[in-house]
Amino acid sequence: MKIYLVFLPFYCLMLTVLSACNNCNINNESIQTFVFDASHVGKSFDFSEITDTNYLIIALETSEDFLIGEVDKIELKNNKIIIFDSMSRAVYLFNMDGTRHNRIFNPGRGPGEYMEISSMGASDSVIIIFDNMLRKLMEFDYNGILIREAALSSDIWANDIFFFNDNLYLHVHWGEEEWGNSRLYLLDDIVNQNYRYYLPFDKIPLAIGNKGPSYSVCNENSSLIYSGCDTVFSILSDGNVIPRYVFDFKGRRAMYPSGRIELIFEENEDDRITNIEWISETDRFLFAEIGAVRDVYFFIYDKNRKRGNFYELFNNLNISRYFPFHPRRLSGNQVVLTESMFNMQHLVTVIKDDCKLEGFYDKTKSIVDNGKLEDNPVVFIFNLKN
Amino acid sequence: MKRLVWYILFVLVLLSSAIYSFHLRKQLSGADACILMYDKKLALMHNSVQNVINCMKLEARSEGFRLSPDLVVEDVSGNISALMDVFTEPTLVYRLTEMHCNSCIEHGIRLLKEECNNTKLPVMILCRYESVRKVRAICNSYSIDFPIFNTPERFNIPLDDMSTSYFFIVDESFKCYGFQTFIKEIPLITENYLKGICSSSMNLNFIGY
Repeated sequence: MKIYLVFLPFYCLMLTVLSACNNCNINNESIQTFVFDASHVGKSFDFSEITDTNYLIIALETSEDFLIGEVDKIELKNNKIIIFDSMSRAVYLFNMDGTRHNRIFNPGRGPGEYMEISSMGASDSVIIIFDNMLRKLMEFDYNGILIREAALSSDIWANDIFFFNDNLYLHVHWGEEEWGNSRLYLLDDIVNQNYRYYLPFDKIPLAIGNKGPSYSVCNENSSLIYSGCDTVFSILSDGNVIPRYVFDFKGRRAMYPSGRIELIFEENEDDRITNIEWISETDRFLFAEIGAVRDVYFFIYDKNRKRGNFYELFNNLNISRYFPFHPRRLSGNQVVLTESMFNMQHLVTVIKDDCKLEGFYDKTKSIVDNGKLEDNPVVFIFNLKN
Repeated sequence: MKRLVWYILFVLVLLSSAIYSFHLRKQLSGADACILMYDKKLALMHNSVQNVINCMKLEARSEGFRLSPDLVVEDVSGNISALMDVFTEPTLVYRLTEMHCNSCIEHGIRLLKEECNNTKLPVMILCRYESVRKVRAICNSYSIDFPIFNTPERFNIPLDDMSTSYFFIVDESFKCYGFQTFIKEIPLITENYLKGICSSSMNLNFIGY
């Protein structure tokens, strides 16, 4: 008996080490599968069926120091429109009427400065940016004033950052780097950087997508996709990460026989699926865009009715069949779209006869008439029906 | 009692060897990651240098590269003109497009400012962006003081299809030569290239053209 007692601490230690290694936090609850069948893809889905007639069209103020190059991310928080633009290395804050509020613009290499803004996340009180080049996180308030900054710990990485339930998450896609494959970090604080990491799957993805990771936040959970993986993962409000949905492409996934991702279009038939381009989710709906070698498919799933389908096109026939209606960017129960002034010029000519939404054409026309071709993009906000 | 001591010793040896092997494994995986990182860096450097070599080879085999004098260029105010109206003398051109990474552009422009601000050789940026608003946005972002023009069309130069921004010289007859891509991994090469060109102050014979 004594002999066993001698080995007891050793066994305890081994058990502790083994359990510490398994840091994944996965619950295998019921997973919904969406089967893709190209022969059953619908022609188009009309968003006028699920959007109400209330909308907002916001022309963003343009000035020499408020010039948006590209809208990389748009968020509606704290009664502000927050636009992250990596091209002009700035985060722009507009009031809801489109007038300028403030901007975060401090490029440089010193303290309080960044070389580039690689990603941005906004909570109701702060805006956090991540500089991939200098590897630092910076926290600003809504007046563009730097609150604090910290170098990112060497064992964490981020392709995108976002807030869910007031927690800061760092989203990392597939890669061969020392940091490992597709991960999700939950950071307690940008300075302390105590983190929990989630590695929701242990398989190497089937193929590498071209858009990197994508996420969507709604009230109840946050959904995540990783390049080359057909599973949609969810962060639940209790912090657990679970596989929630799976796209089953019935063996039509594009493959890489040569191992060279740039040859994907040459090495695969036109009907092969390349990746899930993006997902977005509200409490009721899940939207996705599926990329194929030749085509693009759109997907909508109604959680209440437990029904979903793939379509060739998303549009809103209350406006026009030519109006691109891609619900990639959502804010709560609202679809947020942006259009350049160049496209707006075209839009007013094509929606003139089709538009049934009251006042929509007149408002669009007045923005085009009073604006210039090189003005900042226009923001459209549509409410989804409950 | 003696037996117990032996058992404890045995456990201690086992434990220390387990810890040692764990550390060794960690160090080895760190070394592997370093080797992989250096390999990737080397591949990137090789690619960048190879692009310049290929461009030079093609330049030598053909009659050289020439820009069309009728090429449409647009300034930051949206004024449109032909290339022949903006080039009057040999000029150092920095070519960047929407496809190039922000850090490459930032680094390239910083070097250009550091090395070419006090030279007599005119410097010009020819970029390819979707709209003039974007050109103005990057001018603000990188505090660009050099003359900058947007060219909606791509150049008939192999480097224009590559993922790196590049430098070259255009003379009065719109002949292009002295190509150099911006190599982010070894900025010293680009720095020396710009130093050489700018210090010669218009005497372009030093590069053998």
